[in-house]
Amino acid sequence: MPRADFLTGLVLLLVSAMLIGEGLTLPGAGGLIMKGGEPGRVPLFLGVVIATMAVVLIVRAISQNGHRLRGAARFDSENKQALGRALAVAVGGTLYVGLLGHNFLGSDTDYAVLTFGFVFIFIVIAEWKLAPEIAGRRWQTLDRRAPAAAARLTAIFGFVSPARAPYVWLFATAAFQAVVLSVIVSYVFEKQFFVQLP
Amino acid sequence: MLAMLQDIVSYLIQTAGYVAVAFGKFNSLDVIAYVIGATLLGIIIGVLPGLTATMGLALLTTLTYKLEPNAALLSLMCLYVGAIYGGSRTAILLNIPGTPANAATTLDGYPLARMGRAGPAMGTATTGSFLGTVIGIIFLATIAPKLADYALEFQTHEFLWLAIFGVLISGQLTAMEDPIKGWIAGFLGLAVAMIGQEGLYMTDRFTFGYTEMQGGIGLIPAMVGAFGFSEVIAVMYNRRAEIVRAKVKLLDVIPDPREIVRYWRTIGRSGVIGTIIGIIPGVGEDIGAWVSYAAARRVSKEKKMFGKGSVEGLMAAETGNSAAAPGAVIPVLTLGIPGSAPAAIVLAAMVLHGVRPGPMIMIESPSFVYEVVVMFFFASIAMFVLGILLTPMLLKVLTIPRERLMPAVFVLCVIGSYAIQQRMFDVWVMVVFGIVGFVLREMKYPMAPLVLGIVLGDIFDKSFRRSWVIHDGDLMFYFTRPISVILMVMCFGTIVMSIGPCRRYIGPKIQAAMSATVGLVTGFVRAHFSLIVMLFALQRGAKAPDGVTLSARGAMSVYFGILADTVLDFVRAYCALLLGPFVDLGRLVTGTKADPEPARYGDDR
Repeated sequence: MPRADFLTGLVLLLVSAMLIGEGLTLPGAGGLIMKGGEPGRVPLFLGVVIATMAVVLIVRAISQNGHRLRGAARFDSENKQALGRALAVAVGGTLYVGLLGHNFLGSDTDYAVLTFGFVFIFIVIAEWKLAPEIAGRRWQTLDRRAPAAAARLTAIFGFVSPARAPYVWLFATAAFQAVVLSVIVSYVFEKQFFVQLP
Repeated sequence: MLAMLQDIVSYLIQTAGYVAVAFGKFNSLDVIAYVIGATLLGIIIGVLPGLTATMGLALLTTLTYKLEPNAALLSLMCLYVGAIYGGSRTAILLNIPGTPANAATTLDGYPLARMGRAGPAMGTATTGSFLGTVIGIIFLATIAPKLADYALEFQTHEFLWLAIFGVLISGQLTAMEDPIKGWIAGFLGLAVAMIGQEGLYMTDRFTFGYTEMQGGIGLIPAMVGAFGFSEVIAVMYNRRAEIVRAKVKLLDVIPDPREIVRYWRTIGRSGVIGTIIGIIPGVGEDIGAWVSYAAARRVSKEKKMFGKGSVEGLMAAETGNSAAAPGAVIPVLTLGIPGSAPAAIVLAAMVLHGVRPGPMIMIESPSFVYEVVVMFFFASIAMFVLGILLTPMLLKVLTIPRERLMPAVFVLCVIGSYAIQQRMFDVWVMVVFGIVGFVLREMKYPMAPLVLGIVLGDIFDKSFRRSWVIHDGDLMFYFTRPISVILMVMCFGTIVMSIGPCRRYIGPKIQAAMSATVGLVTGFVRAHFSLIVMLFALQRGAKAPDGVTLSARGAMSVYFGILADTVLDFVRAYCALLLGPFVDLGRLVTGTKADPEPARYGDDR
């Protein structure tokens, strides 16, 4: 944490420099504004306060060797995976928002289609590794509670190999959820709330 | 004194009358549907780890903005109460608080569940939540109108110091381990509120030439990002693939009325503490639960059981967090300042629906405060009934995998941010706040002060500049107004108390002063009660147990004796607090040692 605090302190110093800069450059409207009521006064004050706290943070981090960035703790594989998941969500979410209402591959993107795509891809990526376990559990439950239905499903989808079955199940359920969600959200906001969807 | 008592009774009767009138505004069948639907949704949101009351409220605000104001706000209040309660289910069964407000519930709830008493623990949580909300409602109905009248006295100086105090205390209490991070978050929130056209001279600040930024950063998109999108990222970051299977019978969950009798003190104390914590700007339900829990532990007869499955501890935590919900709405209504993060959403929703919360509320729309009381009342009843009846069904909600839930939450975050003003800029604000919020949370920066800062930014900016113009830069002006001075002292006190050595030095003195204040109040009541009893006995010619006839002079001497004792204790404690540091400083400078504590009568025994 001291390293993170050190870096945060530096970023906060930049933020405070921006606040102070804006506070000093904002116009006083040539004497129209009464002394003390200038628009830059509060940003200037906030800049000074944040800079003070950033300095405290940096000094404290330095006293705990937080400024030595070399030899920083490396991520183990579990942390890397977690960070990867968080990054994927952040980037995926940003991409989805970026595509909303924009021309994509020669045509305007449709909200419902884009939402379907986002939800479907999100679920498939997030559950890919867990698919065999989840599908196995669901199948056991179905087999126990409704053996006739399970037998019928086996007869219909018998051509799917057992190794692929969990992924087929994943694709099918993800598509179902994505369709339901995109249709409901589009309908409620467009038809009920009269929102012009992006 | 009798006249004062009469005033209080007539005020309470008057309040009850206003509340009864407010009930009349909610007499349609739609109301029942909104109450049941929103409370159930709130409980489900609370039950699901990763979905918080704030996120639920932010999303529901966008879903209800086309409804009638009363129906929309009723739905929000019901969701608020339901979510704070719903989190106790997960805390008891999984040891994971459903919402941050239920963190203290895990301490005794989970051990009780492990002992095979999950059902009764849920019953206790239900009782505590219901009674906590009711206590909060009573305070809301009685305190809010008076506080609004009092708030009319507030001018720019008071609002300036109130804004600073709000950010400081919120930062201090939400980042207990490292208050500076809480303060940084709060001041960053104030800085974010500077974006856009300022309200006095319409000058653009930090807009970088973008016209969309002139309107400033919307509170709802910012909160949806900070509590919604960041939560989605956090849930995927800390993924735990647990799927819970818990079976609890309906009969086990029905609360035991004997618990209320047994723990009435704990319930009352936690309710009052929770409400007070709720009133403090930007602090919220989680701190309400922790402080109530700590207070219950300190005075409990079964201290050793705390943390190992104490029913009293569970009751204290749940009463405390639920009482904080109506408590947090008190400053929203009277000062326009939220008591917690969810209350900030409630504030934004009120503004969205054309209500102007603040000191003028009792003049512009006096019935609104009582309507909010009724909304909370409906919510508490619905929470109690649904919480018990739907327990088996609600446990099934826990089996929904997060991987399936989070894309739906994100889609709602996007459309919710967009729907209010129908512009993509708000969606981008949500995305930025989500990513930055996640990074800040991972580095232990609390989100509540940030949100409070955004809410208070406008008040702070205008008050700062106006007060400066009024007193022409003369800082002594702040000392001429008593409320301003009190708030200023509280601000400096908050900063001083966060410094370790200062806290260790002054902490015991403050504790002594606080208990002397409580002693003064109780001594005052005790003296008057004794006087009434003695005068009554005197009138009937009764004798004391030792046969001595009671005289009027004797009665008065007992009365003044009690008063003098408590006043002396009070004065002594406050002298030690206010003058002690100077005396100690003088001793430090001159090198003299403190006199040993004088021996008291009975010390040698």
